[in-house]
Amino acid sequence: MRGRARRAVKSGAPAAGAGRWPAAVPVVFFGLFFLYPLVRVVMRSLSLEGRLDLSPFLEILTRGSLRRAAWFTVWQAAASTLAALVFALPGAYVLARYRFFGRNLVWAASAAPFVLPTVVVGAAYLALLGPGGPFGVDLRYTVWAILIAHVFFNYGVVVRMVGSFWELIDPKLEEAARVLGAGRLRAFLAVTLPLLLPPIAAASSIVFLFTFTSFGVVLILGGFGYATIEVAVWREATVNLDLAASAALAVVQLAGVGAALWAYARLQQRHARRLPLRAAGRAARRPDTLRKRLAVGAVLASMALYLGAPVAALVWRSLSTGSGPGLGHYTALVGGASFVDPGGAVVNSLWFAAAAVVPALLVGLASAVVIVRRPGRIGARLDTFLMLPLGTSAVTIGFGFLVAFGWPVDIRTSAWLIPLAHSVVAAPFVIRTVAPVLRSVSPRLKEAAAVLGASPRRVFREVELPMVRRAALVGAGFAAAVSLGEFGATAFLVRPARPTIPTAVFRLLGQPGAATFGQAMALSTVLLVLTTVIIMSIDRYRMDGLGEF
Amino acid sequence: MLEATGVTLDYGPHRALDRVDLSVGAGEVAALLGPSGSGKTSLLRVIAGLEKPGAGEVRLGGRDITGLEVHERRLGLMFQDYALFPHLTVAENTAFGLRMQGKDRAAVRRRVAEVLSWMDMEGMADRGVDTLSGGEQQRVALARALAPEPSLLMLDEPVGALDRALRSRLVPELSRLLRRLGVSAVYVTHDQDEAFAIADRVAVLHRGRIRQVDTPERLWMRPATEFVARFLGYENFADLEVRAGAASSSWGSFECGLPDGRYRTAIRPDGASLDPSGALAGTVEAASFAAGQTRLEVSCRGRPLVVNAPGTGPPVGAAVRVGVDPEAVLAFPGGEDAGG
Repeated sequence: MRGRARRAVKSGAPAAGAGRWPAAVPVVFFGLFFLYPLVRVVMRSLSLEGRLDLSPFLEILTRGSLRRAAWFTVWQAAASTLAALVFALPGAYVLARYRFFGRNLVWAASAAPFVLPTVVVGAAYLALLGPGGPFGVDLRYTVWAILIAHVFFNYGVVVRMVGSFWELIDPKLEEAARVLGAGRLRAFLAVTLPLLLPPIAAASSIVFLFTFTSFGVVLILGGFGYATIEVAVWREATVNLDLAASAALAVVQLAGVGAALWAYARLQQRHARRLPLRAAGRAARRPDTLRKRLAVGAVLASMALYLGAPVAALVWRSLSTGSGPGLGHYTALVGGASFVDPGGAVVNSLWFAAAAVVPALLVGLASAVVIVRRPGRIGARLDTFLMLPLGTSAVTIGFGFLVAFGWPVDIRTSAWLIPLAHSVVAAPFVIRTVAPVLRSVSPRLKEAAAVLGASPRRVFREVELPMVRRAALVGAGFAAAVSLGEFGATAFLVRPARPTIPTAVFRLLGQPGAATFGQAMALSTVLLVLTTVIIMSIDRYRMDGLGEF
Repeated sequence: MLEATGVTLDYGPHRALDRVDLSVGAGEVAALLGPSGSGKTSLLRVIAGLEKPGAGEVRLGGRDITGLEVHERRLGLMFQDYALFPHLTVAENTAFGLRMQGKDRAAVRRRVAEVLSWMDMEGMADRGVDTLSGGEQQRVALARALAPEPSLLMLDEPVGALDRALRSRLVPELSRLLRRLGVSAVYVTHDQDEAFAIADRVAVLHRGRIRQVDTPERLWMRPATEFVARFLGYENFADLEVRAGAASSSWGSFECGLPDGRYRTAIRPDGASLDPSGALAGTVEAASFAAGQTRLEVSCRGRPLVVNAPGTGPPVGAAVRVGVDPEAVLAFPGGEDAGG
């Protein structure tokens, strides 16, 4: 998707001279707050007291718990990817090929899980699959709970990436195959499936990437029995205080992420070569026979159940007190009855989000301009480079901050590190929302403005900026939502006295007792509501936030 | 060969086909002619089995195929935008139908080579279809439809996507090929020149109904309704009152072969001409030159009358007289679908 759009607008000539300065903003920002910490992590993994030492890596092979974590990370990611495909492809089909009442709503809702905070999803599945849940089963600390939650998270990724491409495949191709003597299944296998392989492969590599770096969900649902590399990095660093092992694990993780990103980029390139055959939406038809209606209904119902059940369970458990339904858990949050300060966590989180949005927006906008205008070689490289923070795990970033910012001045305990880390995680979201809009500004408009006497800077201010203002707003909303739910990096940087909502939820879940569990559910619900409000208010601008992933 | 009777198709509240009858004899080429949205493509889709008709039946070679699945019908259909498989080569596209029939590889290869040689495409067998020009894609689409030797070939605006020069070269070529193969065919188009050039019989479709089926000559000479006449390019329509061989119209009166009475009529385009002794007098309001003749809009008593004059014709503003060939005045049955 991305590759093609880029090729199409190549004619937008790099504005000579004027376009160069924005490159400095992302280069400095990501260099200092992303690349530098990573480099320090790599250095930490290799050298102990100044000389090269590979023993931390050997330890990953020899120490059972670390070896198991590495192996578990790989296979659970593969299994999650496969499961997500199996569950999501029927949904992609229905959304791509059928028109029905509420189709747009379903399309929007399918993205929802993707933007939900991991802690909320973890808590929701504890409510659904833990003791006292509606199904009467206890899948806590089993791999099933992890896989189910991973499918929940990535369902929308597959539905949207594959569905949006499927929509573009002319149904006439399958009809042509049918007229030529292919049965329904054969026509699908011989024509549609081969055409769908690129988006399926691209979606798979993204899902693999997300589940490979899964942190919050595994931490909450896996207990001590199951740990991904991500969880192991955190545990070694904060519980066992073995920074060398942590660093080595983080490097292994980075290698895995790099491989998945590389595969994704390759697939996107191939993907781009495939021609879309028809404008989206026109191919979709009403389900006109009873059989089709039943099939569409069944898929939609299972989708609703799958996406709705955990959220419903979460809200329900947050309202169930020992003495029947009520708001007891919510009043406990503000009443100071808890050992963490949940009310304070809400305030902290909102402050951090506000503080993170500003740099994320600035850096994201500047980066988008650089990517779209691509002044010279730097711009071209930057495009790929700026994808990295999106793929790199937040835990690695948090750990990197911890390793990197102890010297020359120890600022590791500064509260400012948290919004900074959030903005590193969130800026790519801003880029991905703004860049396509910026790219879609026709070169004709810019040329027209230039002919009318606007300097390149004026062209940006008078033409491009007004057109991307909405996209920037949406990007800011995304950044705020990401910051509110951020857990991986925050887990390293947070101080117990100033918790965020996700870290407070995590600590509440770590305590035994029905009361703290109820409070965790209530606080998760608060975060769920906050995130939903933000996402819904930016969704009014009808931006396809996932379109560029 | 093909016998479609009473075919009715609804898309929700919209009736796409309304009791359509169409028959195509063995080796015959029939054209479906009509404006866009008239139901031409819908009829092809019903015959192919891609749409289930609400009523009516489709018979092929005497056998009722209405209930048959698409892939069991063994028909050839060439889609309007070709619908070539983008992931397959020219040869693989052509081979698709043969593979579906379970032909062995040698037979498939032979047949593909044969069909591609008809199209002068032998050299492009291994090319990807997205590297082809529009004309080449058209030939691959035709090759793919012909390769499995369908009992009926359907072509949906097969040259509609090509430019005018290529079109006027390809249509006679296509016509020759269809005759040589002796294949029964249904040819869908909105262009009467194309339909006339290729078809033995032309069926004119309008708002989901067949308005007239005739040979090209008969259709041109005697369009059955005002809509058909307008669609074929007739421009001069008038209400006439005929008494003793003299017709009075808002243009003036002129001689006419119709019996006494009131009629809705059209004058065939070649039936009105500049004639110094013509019955109608008027002034040239507009003139446009094309293809060796000039199309004049002559105002007779304030009403426009279109006259084709050879060469450049008189200038705008000139006073002219127009003669009407009595045999070229056609009367329509009472205004059923007047206006089109």
